[in-house]
Amino acid sequence: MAMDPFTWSHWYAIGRLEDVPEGGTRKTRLLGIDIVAHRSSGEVTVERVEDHAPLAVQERYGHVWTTFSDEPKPLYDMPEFDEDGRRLVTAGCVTVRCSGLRAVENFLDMAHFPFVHTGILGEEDHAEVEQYCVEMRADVNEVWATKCRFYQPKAAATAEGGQMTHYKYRVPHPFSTILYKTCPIREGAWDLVGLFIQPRDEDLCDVHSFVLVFDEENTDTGLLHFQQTIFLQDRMILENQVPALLPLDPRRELPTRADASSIAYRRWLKENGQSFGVLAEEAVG
Amino acid sequence: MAQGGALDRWVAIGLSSGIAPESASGITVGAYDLALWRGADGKARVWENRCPHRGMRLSYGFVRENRLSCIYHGWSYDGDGSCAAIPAHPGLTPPKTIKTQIFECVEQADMIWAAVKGTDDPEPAIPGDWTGCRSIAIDAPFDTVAGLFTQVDFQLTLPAGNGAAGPLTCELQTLGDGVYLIRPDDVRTCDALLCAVQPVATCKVMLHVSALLTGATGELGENLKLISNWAISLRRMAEAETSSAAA
Repeated sequence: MAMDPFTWSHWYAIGRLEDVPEGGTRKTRLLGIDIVAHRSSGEVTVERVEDHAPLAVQERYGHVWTTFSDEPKPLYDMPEFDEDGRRLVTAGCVTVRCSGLRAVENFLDMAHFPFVHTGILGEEDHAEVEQYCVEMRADVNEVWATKCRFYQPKAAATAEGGQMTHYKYRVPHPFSTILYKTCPIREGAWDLVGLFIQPRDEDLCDVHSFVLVFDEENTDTGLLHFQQTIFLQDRMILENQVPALLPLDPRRELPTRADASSIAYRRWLKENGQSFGVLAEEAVG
Repeated sequence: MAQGGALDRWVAIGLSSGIAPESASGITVGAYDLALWRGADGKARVWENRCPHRGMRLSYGFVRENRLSCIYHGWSYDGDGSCAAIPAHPGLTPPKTIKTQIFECVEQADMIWAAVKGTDDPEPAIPGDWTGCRSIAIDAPFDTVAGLFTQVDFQLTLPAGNGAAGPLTCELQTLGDGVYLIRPDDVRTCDALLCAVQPVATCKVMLHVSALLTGATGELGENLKLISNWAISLRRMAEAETSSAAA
């Protein structure tokens, strides 16, 4: 297995808080290792199945997080979770047969909206991706894509009719990504949509998705259905990319300008020594 | 040997009727993951099943006129594999370096055949007005299915139609690895059958069957049904042999 210190150093979401109810047990897998979570007297514990070694645990952002590392990199901050008036709606866990890194990259990509999310997040007559900005924020070791604009027929569950949607994307973790998009009902505010990806194996992941929005209109079920519709359209792509692991050599898969965020993400993974979920370097003709 | 699915030689990958104009589908030949598609011009093409952009299988794509577009980002490719358009950048002429990997593809005997570019294997040339009858998936190794044809006492157990049934005396000619031409003495159902075995996986093949029906006297639909049933009986034999070998 292609383990590397960068992968090892992170916290990973392994389920929602309610997925580990009082007295309950959740068996799952992380980075190729079987683990099990229990909750008793309100407290969640996680251990490795093989040797019962206890793992560190924290409950944040509506999810249970764990790490194998003795000195983990602190879990990234999302101050929006403390803001009043927002609703957190999780869409549950979807298992996808691909590297979790492929799922992050797909999430950062606007150019697929007209073809994969046709009539919802994009349409063929408005397929152009305008230039946007990509930054590597060295102080926090994060990748950001900002000033993203895209025409969307139905940008969110609350959206009525088409609009030019403004996006920001954040990658604070190799297996997490957050999208900030203009809130259709509150001017100046950003709605959050994010993925906490649990890499089960190099080529298999559980995707925990959430929205954190200002929305007084839609039911939780409505928001959940919107997320699930979008994500299941993405899954059809993710399970049919060849190879399942993410290649970092730019000669292996040819990018264009619209892929600036993907190029930055791949470069960032390479610079951080990511090898888990990455296609092993090989000679490219 | 064809077992590994090498496309160094020509392999039948389906009946011509299996792929309609302006459509695409996925085909497996051993380690090869292929996209088969047909343009509005009627020409079938076989490519590596991978968009050079982000690795998406092109068999999920869509065909308009004579271009195949990837379903992921709509990058579209001309028949020669060169990228013709990138929708995210409508004003951009795609660089010539963006090309799919293409395979040789011909249609003969109402079947589609593919091979790697520059193969030494001569292109299939099987004259006659053939009718594709049946493609059937068989859970058996290539050699087991090929062995049904190459055994010394091969008999065509095709019911003759018109009331006459039973094994027919026939002449069997091996045209290539897994490609057999069968000429029965009794031509009431068909003048000849062409059977081509496509290796898929270690224990899976596709058997494609076309027929020459010019001299057949039986009713067409009935003849096709008899040939189809014969293919099913071959599958039964091959799968029985495979499971008894495994036991």
